[in-house]
Amino acid sequence: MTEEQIIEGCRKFSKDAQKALYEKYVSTFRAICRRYTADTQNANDILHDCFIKIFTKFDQFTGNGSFEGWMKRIIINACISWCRDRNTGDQFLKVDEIKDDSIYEEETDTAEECNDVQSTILNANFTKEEIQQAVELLPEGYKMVFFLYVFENYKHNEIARELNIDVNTSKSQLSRARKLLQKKLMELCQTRVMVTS
Amino acid sequence: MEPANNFIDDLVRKSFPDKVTSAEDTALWDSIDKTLRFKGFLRFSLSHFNIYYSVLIVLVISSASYLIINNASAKNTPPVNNNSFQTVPAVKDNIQMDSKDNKAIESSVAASQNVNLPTADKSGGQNIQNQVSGTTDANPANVNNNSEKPLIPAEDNNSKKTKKVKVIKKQVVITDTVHKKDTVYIKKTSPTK
Repeated sequence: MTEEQIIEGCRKFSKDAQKALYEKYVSTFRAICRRYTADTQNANDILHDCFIKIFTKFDQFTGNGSFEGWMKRIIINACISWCRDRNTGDQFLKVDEIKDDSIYEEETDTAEECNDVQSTILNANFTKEEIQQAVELLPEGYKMVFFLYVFENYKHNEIARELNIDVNTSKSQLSRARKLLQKKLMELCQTRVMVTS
Repeated sequence: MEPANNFIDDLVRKSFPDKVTSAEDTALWDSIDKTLRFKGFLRFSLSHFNIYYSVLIVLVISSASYLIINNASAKNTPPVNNNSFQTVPAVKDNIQMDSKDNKAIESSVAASQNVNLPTADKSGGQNIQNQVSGTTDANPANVNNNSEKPLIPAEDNNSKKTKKVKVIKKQVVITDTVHKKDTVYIKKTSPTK
């Protein structure tokens, strides 16, 4: 079934078209939900609600733009809402107030030192699980901005609008997220060296 | 700084999968399908059975059963008591006897004047008079015969037991005129010892 047939079928509430759409996109959408929730059960709950929303509000899709993009936006908005609800506002909204002195110290690093860090991390050959764990350790707000920027290719003004924060705050959070992630990966490298020695 | 940032972005992008399959896909679809069917039931559609059709069916069934039960109960109700309510033919009969009734009333009133009223008033102060019915006492001959005797005998002190036997209130409607007859009480006295 082609995408046009799926769209037409879903407009008419056809069960076959709805199931075809589900089977085509469920794995992609589950990957998105897993990134934000880091939990299969919560990811499935969000997926359930999002698919219901997609099927029942299909008339809101005007046909302008990508159909997959429209659905992805629904999924991402649901993930943002889920994170906001879980963190009960405070932790998420005051994320720009999180201060890590080591991050600010690294901001004064020279380009040569940055290249050294880059080469060290790249040569460490981290596994996917190690990098995922390092990302999971980021504060919720940093992680959210980082994911929206890196995976969803949102611009800073879009991130600011979605998260209801200032554009400069979005930029600073992304920068700090990267720095913090570098720091954690470097610590992991040092741990490896100590274990091998 | 930017090259270092970009390498982190790429590293993280590669470490997270683009697609995640799960064994719960079928169960999730079943759950979604169930919810969609319920939402479809709540949404109006001409081609699918939904809550609006079910409400319509319930309304039709309940109104039909209400009408059937009402008709059945109307058939089972007993006929109206003729003593309390006169049908139109009975009223016509009374109208024909109206002239006789008036004579009977006049004669009974004349006879009641001969009765010793203070003795009659002892029984609760009620005015006790003969019943003037449309059937028996309507005959003026009988009334004249009775007029010689007191209609209500004087009560003895021993016979205080009285009974209210019958109370009839009649209304006769003749076109626009209402002839209202007074309520008549019959006082039956126990036989004197």
